[in-house]
Amino acid sequence: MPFMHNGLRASARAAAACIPSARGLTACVLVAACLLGTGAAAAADVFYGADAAWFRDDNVAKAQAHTDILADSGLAAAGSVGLVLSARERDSFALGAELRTRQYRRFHGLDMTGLGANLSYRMKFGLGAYAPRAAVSFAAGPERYGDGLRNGWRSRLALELGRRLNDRWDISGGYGVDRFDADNVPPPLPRFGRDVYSLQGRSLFARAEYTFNERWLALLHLNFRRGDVLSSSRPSVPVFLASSDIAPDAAFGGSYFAYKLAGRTASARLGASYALSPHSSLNVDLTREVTASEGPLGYRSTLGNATFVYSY
Amino acid sequence: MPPLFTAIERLTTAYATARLAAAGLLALLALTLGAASTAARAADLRVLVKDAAGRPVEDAVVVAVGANVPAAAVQAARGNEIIDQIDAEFVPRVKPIMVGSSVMFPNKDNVRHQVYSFSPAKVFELPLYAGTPARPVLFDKAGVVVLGCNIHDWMVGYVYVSESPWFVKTGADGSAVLRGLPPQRYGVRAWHPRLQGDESTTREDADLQGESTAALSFTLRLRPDVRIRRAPVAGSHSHY
Repeated sequence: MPFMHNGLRASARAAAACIPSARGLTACVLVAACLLGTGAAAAADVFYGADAAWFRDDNVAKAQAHTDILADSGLAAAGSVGLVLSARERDSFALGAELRTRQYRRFHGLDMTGLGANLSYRMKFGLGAYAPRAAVSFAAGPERYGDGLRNGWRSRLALELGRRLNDRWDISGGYGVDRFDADNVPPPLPRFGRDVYSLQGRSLFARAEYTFNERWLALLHLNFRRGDVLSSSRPSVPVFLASSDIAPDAAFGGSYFAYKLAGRTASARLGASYALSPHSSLNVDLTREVTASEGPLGYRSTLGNATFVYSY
Repeated sequence: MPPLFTAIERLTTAYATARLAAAGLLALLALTLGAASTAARAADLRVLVKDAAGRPVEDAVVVAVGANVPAAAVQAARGNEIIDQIDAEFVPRVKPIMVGSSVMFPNKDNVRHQVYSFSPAKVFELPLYAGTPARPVLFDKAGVVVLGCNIHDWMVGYVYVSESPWFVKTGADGSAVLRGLPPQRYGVRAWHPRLQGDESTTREDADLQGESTAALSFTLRLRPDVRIRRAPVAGSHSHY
């Protein structure tokens, strides 16, 4: 029964193949950034921002069995800077770089520091705040983890369409392809790969924001992802049989293994944002994630965040 | 020189000085009397604008409309106005002007703006720019003109184009004074960006014949203050 979801995985991989090489595209982004930045620096508007968050994940290993579920919390921070280049009246390019980190209280193998470059193209179909808009964005960069095993390059390509309906409602939705290429892949076992940390998938997402007043805003973000899932747990026959790749996972102690499964993940993020100033806000959100894999396999997790955001 | 001639010359000089002084005094008197006469004719109208809860309403525009509009009053009210863009906001956010006035939109930010309006009273668009545009925008039709920036959706401003030369904007305490109104009957109305319903329903009458000062108060029903929020949201990476 292993590879029962090979069709699912194959389709996800076909979609993710739209991202041919994270490193190659990152290089393209950087070259484009340099060219556009040099050529249009005079017409560029600079943006920068930072955020700091406390988070808690009640199933950080993404395990199914109750005895394998582990919770953890930690702190995250990010800083970004970039340029917006308005090519014409109704469209613009944004080039940016981001440095982010995520530090766990217990499982330091998951501690992550990442550097990312991103390029996006935004277009408005008309004039004014209520004109429909579209954006294509690509982001990629290396991530370094505490356990070293998870090191790799993450990349994401997304297309988003949106529209502000009125002063209260803003809606958007889109399609995204994500990919993570692990740096260190141990030699494969017979019949099983060990490239467990290399993942790819594709997503459909929808977002709605509702403004209560000048300060308060609520948001709902729905995401449906189909593709590889990384789950860590103690050895389990059903998980073992359903997995394509398996490797020991030192981040949760010697008894845990990381399994790569094909699955469908639905997540809903509900949040509220309070504007402290025109440039800063306090945000709280809760994300409920449900993943279904082969047969009865699957997991549920809830992630909470409290985030301070500043941008200019 | 004989003393007699000297005395005559001094007398002549003194007489000329006295005439000059008298003429000056007369002119000053005439000016004072004229001003007093004008002051006697003109009146000040003090207005207070509150919301339904009795709180003062800032940035309300109060307009007095009279039957007789002196050309001088129109000339004085019509002009070249300025609405700045500072820290990606329109400053001032509400600007009352006389119909026929022009407005410049200087961009004092280090990012570019694209100012536009869809309002029937004035449809225009200033292509993406930095600094000060070459030409002002002429507002030749009375009405409310809502301003926006196509780059920064949260930027909203209002130009109130008045058909009357007598208008004023309230301060933080909700009050303002319409000064120098000729003595006649006026229809006075108030407008605010969040006003519920039609501006004409706010109309009050004021008779300033024989009055040097008068007072009016308005109670406006206002919509909730819902604007496109500028502050960032966690997880939304929308730069502009």
